[in-house]
Amino acid sequence: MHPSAGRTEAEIVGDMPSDRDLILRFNGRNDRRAFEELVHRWDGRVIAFLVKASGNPEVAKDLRQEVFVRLYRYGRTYDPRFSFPTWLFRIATNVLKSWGARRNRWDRVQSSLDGETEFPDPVDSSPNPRESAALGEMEDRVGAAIGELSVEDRELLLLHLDLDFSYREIGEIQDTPETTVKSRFYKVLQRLRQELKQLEWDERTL
Amino acid sequence: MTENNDREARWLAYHLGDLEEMERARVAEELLHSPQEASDVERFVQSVSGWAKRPVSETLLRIENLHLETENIGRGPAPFRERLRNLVPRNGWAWGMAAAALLVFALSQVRFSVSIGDSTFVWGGQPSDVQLDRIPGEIQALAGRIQSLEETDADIGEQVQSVALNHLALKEEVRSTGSLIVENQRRETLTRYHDFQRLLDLTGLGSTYAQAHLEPIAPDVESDGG
Repeated sequence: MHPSAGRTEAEIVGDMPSDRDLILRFNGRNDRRAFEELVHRWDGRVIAFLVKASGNPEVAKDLRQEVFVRLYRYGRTYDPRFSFPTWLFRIATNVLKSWGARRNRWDRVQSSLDGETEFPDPVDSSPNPRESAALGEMEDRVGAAIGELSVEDRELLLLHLDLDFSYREIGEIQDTPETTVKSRFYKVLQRLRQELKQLEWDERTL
Repeated sequence: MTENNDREARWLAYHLGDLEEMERARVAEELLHSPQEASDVERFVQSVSGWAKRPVSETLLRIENLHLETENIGRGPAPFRERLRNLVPRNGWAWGMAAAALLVFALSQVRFSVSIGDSTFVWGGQPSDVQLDRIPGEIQALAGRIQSLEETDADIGEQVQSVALNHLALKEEVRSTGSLIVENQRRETLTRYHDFQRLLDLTGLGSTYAQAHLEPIAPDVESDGG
């Protein structure tokens, strides 16, 4: 269970209003301070998520902007039965999805214009596995292999391992059954591990 | 393979704390038997978690980098219907004027003719002199373009014909080279056959060996021999 599904760390320490109280205050009384407080609380986690999921800090900055703009515009659609973080990251994953679709369309246009030439990913600046293997460090290798995953797969790893969302909460975020989320999560990890084994083997045989 | 995958998934789940108490104890026992692999999986889980939790640059985290102009966001872009409404005149007389202007414009675009007895009255939609003057020039430009397209077409036709001829010639060459190769191979085989027979004659084994092992050679090949 995500720690802030009920109350955030700050709320537990003092008498801070919960995220839910803040979003309801913003909705009910159009309280801009409540909105700003929410942004202050969540901005760090949102930007970190977007940077790692998109693989590009510059893109992440634009996406972060879009997340909070959507939060402001569609704050009224918040359903208090759900936790605020789940709802916020549902917005963030939708923003990522739209960006992914735009990027794919652009790639398709590029390849049709240039005779199916494969272009390097214009936004994902992660080093490729072959480059990183030379560094020899497990962390770097893992980072490189993760860079090769799809945005959706990286998103899944981050939601569970960094943001501590449970499989059920991720299911709510991605509109997917909990069991599917869990099995997808383990498949991603296993694929990643196979990729790393292959890299190690390549390194040994080179 | 599947068994290995299942085992790996169990070990991953163990390190991620996704197992029930009993299953956890069982996997802990399994891990004791394969310490090297167990440590690999553990390192892997730690590295992936490390990547996920790795902090991002401080500059990105600065809240002032978030340019949220809430006043503008609040309003957002006006819906299309709203913008359209602003364009539409609000008074009745203005509506009437707009409708009349539209009617005059529409009539000027249409050509009307009415015949009464032998007389025909025509009005509206007639091309101006300026438009009429432009037409010969445009026809000439079109004629020029058609001619150039025809020339290109003729060029392409010639090229296609020459490619077709080259194709035929190539086909013929392949056919004749093929028959030449077959003929040469036939001659070579025949020469070898005769050489071998001569060798048998010289060694005095000719009749006995030939009777035992050699098939009589086909008459047309024999007649060619030499």
